[in-house]
Amino acid sequence: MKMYTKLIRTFLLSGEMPKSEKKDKVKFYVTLGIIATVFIFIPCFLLMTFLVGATTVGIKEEILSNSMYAGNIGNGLLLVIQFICIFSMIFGFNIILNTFYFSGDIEHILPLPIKPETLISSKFMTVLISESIMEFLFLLAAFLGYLIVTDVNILTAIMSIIGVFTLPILPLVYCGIITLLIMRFTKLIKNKNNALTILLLASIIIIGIFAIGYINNDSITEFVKMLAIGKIRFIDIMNYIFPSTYFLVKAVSNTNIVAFLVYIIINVLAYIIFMLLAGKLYIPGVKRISNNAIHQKESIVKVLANTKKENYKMTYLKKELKLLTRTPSFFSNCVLSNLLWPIVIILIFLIQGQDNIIVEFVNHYKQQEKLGLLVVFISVFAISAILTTANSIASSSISREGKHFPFMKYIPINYRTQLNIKALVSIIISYSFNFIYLLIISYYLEATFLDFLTFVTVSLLSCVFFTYLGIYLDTINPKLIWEDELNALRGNENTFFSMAISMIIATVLGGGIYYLNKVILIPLSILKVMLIVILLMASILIYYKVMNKGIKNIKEIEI
Amino acid sequence: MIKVKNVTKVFNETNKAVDNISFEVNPGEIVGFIGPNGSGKTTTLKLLTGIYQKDSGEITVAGYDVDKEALEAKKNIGYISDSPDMFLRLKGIEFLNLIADIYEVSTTKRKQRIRELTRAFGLEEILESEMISYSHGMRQKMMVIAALIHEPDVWILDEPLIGLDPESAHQLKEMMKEHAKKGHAVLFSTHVLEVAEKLCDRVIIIKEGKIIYQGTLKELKKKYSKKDLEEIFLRMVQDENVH
Repeated sequence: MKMYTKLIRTFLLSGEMPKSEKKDKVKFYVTLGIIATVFIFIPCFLLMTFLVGATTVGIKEEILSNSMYAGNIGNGLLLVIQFICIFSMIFGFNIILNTFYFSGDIEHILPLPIKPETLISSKFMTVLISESIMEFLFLLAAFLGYLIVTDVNILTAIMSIIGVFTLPILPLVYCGIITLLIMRFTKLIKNKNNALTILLLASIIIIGIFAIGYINNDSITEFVKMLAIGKIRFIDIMNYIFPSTYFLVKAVSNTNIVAFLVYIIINVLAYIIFMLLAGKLYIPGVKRISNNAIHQKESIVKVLANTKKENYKMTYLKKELKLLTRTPSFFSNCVLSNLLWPIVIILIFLIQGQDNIIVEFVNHYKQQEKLGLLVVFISVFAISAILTTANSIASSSISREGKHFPFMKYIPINYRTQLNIKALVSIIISYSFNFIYLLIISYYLEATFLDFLTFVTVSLLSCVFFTYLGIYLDTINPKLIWEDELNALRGNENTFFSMAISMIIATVLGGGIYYLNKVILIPLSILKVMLIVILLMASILIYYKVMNKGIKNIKEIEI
Repeated sequence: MIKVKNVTKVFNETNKAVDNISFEVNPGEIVGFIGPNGSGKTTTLKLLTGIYQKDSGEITVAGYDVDKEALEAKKNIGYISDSPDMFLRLKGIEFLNLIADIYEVSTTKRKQRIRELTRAFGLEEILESEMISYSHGMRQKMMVIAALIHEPDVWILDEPLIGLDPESAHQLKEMMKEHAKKGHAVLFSTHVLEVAEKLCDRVIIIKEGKIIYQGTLKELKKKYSKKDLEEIFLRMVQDENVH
């Protein structure tokens, strides 16, 4: 037991972001943490609480109004936690694969006299804790929303709390078992490179299965009615995949101890099956990937035939792009993650059905109504801001250097050039996706050429500003010590703070534009120019901040 | 070619990693930097290359101040760090071209250098592979090749022989001698006293951030009237009063 807890502590610590030793930096981070908590965590938490609470009230009213409705009052809660389980599976694969098979500690731990089951269970617990922190918060908010509007008693409260911390077990066990089988019996993942392909495939299959189950053209009111009737195909399918969710909600909504016991048994059984399989499959699986030294032999004459001098800035840029696209964790998190946005928008469409608020605004826009024009304009800015920060390219640009960070310091290229190239990488990738989306949106909206030009200008400036902001944050306290590449990004506070700031700025500027247009009655055309000027000035300011304070920060980093 | 004058480096406001050290490495010299773990060897080398910032003192490399004329100083340095795990997702040839471009090595020159150096270290045929597939020793050889590709005047090498097979280690030692013979300078850290004895014109022994000896090993043996270098070294680093 002592070894088990020691291992968990060690694994968790190695993924943690080191704290700065300088007081002013600590103060800066604490301030950012408070801002992020107040403006991001609390609103998200409240939103989830409200979502579940409101849906539950709706279902309750529907059931009361019609005695024929056989749905469970907890169906709203059930739907939300099933979604959380799906996300847990999508992200779980990557983390399980990295923690169990590709983390740098494996080769040091395997020769130690540690029982395989202790190692496996401590790794599983590490994944559960590190992957589920945000999940715990969302689950807590969901249960809170439900409990507030229903008859809560001490038993349901206890069952809910236990549920919050144990629900992610089953999805992770699924990820774990699939990973164990792939690693032991197939040659699909011999090294990290083809791991990415498998992970992508697995994620697409999972999303596909769940999306098929979820396609729905009803309005929100109709949807709540369906929840009350109890005829939602998605929930039925998910009940089979995640039976634990069904029994937990049944236990909480009916204060049903037997259902709760079944819930516990399902989790315990799942864990035992995982441990039994892992005991047999894990170590042989790890040994299969340990030797991946395959050299592609090529004659030096042929290699040198293509060798020629290039501008060092271009070579440095190519190096940054190659490392970003060839490192599976970086590629999936920083590049491919940009593809998630259309999926999010499609999901919003699916969830909202025919009474779609987006469709409403699109119609307003097409009819050149003021509100539609305003909302589309604000959205372009906000989406560009969040896309640029969410992909973490800029906010991890120094962190990704890891232990070869000193390279930046001993080569004869000044920091200004190096940071600008890093910024360019973020701008190229983020803006490429932004631009494609803007093209599609503009086509869909039938936007005028002038509007399209405004969109691309605002988007570009937004991308530039948030790129330099991300880089600046990463110069303050980069996460340079990590065991595997995924750890450079996971738990990197700079990405989180960068996203939080982008959300706050988007809200403040968006709200400001709305207020100035609706209340002060400033024409939208003037507001567009104003926003462009503000973004331009802000970009220049943050650029100078990076080139002065950012460079000073880099000089002070000593590893 | 390397001048270090009264240099001090303090970490976390209390830990004096390098304490008021001064030394020089002259053209044509190979100087060994010796000391126990944590004595300040790597810190000193990192101060010379601009990786760390000194708190006080002066450092010049190839006549350039490492702070005020940092880029010029860096252009003249060939540095091998203590970790060879660098940019492992790049192919060997991509890595060498990156370094050659950074140091603005012409196409003809780089082709010649890559051919010579990869032949010397037996890496000719694997340059098209990503370095993640290389063994530790191969990566170390790659770092050596990268550090020398631009024919720098000053070599600053942190434990360069670690991880090299005997043949490659011999090759590198010969290169160091050759380099010094041409009137350039080599400063390298090592734990292996025999290597220092065979290779170095002078040694600098550092302990707890302070230089406790600099001169030839011959003089050192004379001073301690002992023949065994290991014994002398152990006595020096264990002796509280030697500073």
